[in-house]
Amino acid sequence: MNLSVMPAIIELLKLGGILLLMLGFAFAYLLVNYRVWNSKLYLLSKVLLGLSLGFFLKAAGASWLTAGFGLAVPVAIGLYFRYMLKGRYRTPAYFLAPAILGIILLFLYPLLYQFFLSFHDLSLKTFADWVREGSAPLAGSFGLENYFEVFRDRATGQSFVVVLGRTLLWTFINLVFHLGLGLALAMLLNTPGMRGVGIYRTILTLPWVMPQVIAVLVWRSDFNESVGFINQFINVTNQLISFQVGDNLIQPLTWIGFQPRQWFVDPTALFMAACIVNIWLGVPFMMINSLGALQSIPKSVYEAASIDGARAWQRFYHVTLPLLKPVMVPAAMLGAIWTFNNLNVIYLMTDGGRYEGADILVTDLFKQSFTYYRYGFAAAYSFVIFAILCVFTYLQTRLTAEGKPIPDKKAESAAAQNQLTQKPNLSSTRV
Amino acid sequence: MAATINKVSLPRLLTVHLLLSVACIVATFPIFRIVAISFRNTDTVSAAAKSSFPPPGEATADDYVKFFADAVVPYEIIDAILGKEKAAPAVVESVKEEATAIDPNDPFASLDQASASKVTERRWYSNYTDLFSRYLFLQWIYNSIMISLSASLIGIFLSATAAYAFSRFEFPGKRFALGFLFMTQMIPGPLMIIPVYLVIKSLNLGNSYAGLVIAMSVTILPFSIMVLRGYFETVPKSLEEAARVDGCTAVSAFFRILLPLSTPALAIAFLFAFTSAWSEFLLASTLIDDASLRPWTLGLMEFSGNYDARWGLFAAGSVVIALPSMILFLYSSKYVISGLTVGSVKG
Repeated sequence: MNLSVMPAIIELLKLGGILLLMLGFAFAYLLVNYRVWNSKLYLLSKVLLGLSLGFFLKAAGASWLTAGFGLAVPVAIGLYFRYMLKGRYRTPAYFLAPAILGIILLFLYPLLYQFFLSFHDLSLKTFADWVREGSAPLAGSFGLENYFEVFRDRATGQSFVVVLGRTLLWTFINLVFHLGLGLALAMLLNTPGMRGVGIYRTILTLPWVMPQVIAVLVWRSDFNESVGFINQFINVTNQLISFQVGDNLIQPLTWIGFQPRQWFVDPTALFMAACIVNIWLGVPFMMINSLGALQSIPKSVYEAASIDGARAWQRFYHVTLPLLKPVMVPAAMLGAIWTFNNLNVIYLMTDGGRYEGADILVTDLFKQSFTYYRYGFAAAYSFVIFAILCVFTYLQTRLTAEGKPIPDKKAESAAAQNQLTQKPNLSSTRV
Repeated sequence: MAATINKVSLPRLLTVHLLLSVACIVATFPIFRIVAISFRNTDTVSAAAKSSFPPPGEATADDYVKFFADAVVPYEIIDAILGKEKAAPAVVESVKEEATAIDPNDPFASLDQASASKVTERRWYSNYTDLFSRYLFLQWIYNSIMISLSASLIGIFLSATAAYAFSRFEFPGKRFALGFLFMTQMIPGPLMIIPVYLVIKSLNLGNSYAGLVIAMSVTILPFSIMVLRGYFETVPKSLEEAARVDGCTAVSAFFRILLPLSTPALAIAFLFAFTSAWSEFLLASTLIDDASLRPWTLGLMEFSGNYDARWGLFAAGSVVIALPSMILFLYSSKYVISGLTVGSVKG
């Protein structure tokens, strides 16, 4: 056993020390500013601090831009404390300080950095220049070359339109199957007077509680062309259902596409395999959501409908669906965003991008930055994807809000419920 | 009419059971598969290599059932139980023959033979013993537990304080901050990797627990802030106000009143944070180089490589990791649902 505990303990102590230091710094900074904002020398000292910071940065070899930031930030903070805050909002500021420190360090700064990078030509070719001089050359004459490049046909992959189309297809297929199968299973589970609902529900949620990495890798082993189970199963079934007519062997199932495939070589088959895996993974979440919503619908509504003479499908269409809407719409929206941004499944199914032809936007982005090392281009690419998602979400909220105004309270509680029931398997892709 | 709703006819009930059973088989099939693969003493994925399927025309439904049983039930275990355990597949036997054919004057012959005989001693549980004795598997699990526990604890603490500020105080930029938090859900993953790597490197925390923990705990923040804020708003404000009147500060009102009241939401947020950190691999693969600091995700991905796939080892590792985490999450999902209803009743 190579369980060496001591280095780990030291690491953890180090981590605790660092965190305490960071939190202490954040709190102390706020405390000092809140104490002295009213003194006469406050602004003067801020200006002096900014000047010295700027000169220090310049002397340490930073560019004029960075030095300017070093000058401007303390002065701006001083002005803000002096004229805007005036000692207000002290308590929420203390409560927010640690989280904001982390978010600025690991969300906001990276975003700004990537935005900066997206106008520059940083790739393996210019990497040495970047290290030597501290700044990569602008991409093109206006710096927008990377953004133009996104929409151009690339030599190192498929064109943007194809990948975008595939991503939309991927999102659409997955969402339809997640919603359809999840709702169908929930309605089966909701059959009145049935026994063993708990057992069925537990078994059916297993794909959801299984670690995603393991699930996808197991599926990948079963999709293996020669030794995997799927191809063998297809072969055996075709052997069983076959007829000998004269010299010809007729296998009727192959006519509808039921035949062994080279799952990882054929791009269509690979895409199909990835879809199957993601559908398998995502159905339980929608099932749980819609089951909860179905069980919250009072029976009296159905009774009233059937007294009015509604048939089964009419009850489904006019009673169940409208009542499910406030829960399912936010769930479907989040599901769409997650599927759109789902790096894990396709990344693992294509063995880290080794197999071509099934890339969606996110995995293509990953490939551009970590296989081809085109950092500047990848930054621009990711902002384009981000913009597409923002538009997509905006349109969705608009379209779903337009139908009829959902009562605020209900929508909020439904949203809260969804936030609570979902599993943040996204966060590994969100980074 | 009402009777048709409340009472379901027997054929329909049977159909429902049938459909649900089929769904259950599909849902659990990969799980049975990894268990079966993990007990094979070779690295092959399938059992069909062992017993070939009869040619067309001769195959019966019996063979079909046998094929499925072969794929799901590890035959090594059956052999071991029945006592007709013949170890070692053909490949290993040929190795043994070669070893015996080696020139007796060779000084290393005895060593070769010893190693060859060791290879042939594989049993149905060999994958598991190999996993623990030949690889850093325990170390990987230990790393993962350490990283995800500390990341989720820190993340929950930070997000609880932030969520308190969001739910109880008014301050400029609140709407913008909430919008930003929602927006972070839409950022494509690879966008953040390079700058986060640079930040962690420049803090001199690359290739260590600390860097990964800091990165992960901040990654968790937006989602858990939203969950906790939603719950905090359902807790009546008057409780804290009463405490404030009695001379409690805002900080101690938060720690003594709000936090104990919202343990269900904290537990849920912790659970989600832990889940996502537990199966995270992208950040880990960029931030960590040392083999001894790897979490299990990277270790298992190494087994399932394309050209030297060790499916047996991979499956054994998956079973060891997946079963406890699945049991934990199934068990806690009850509390998730009860925590939900508590929140919604109060709201």
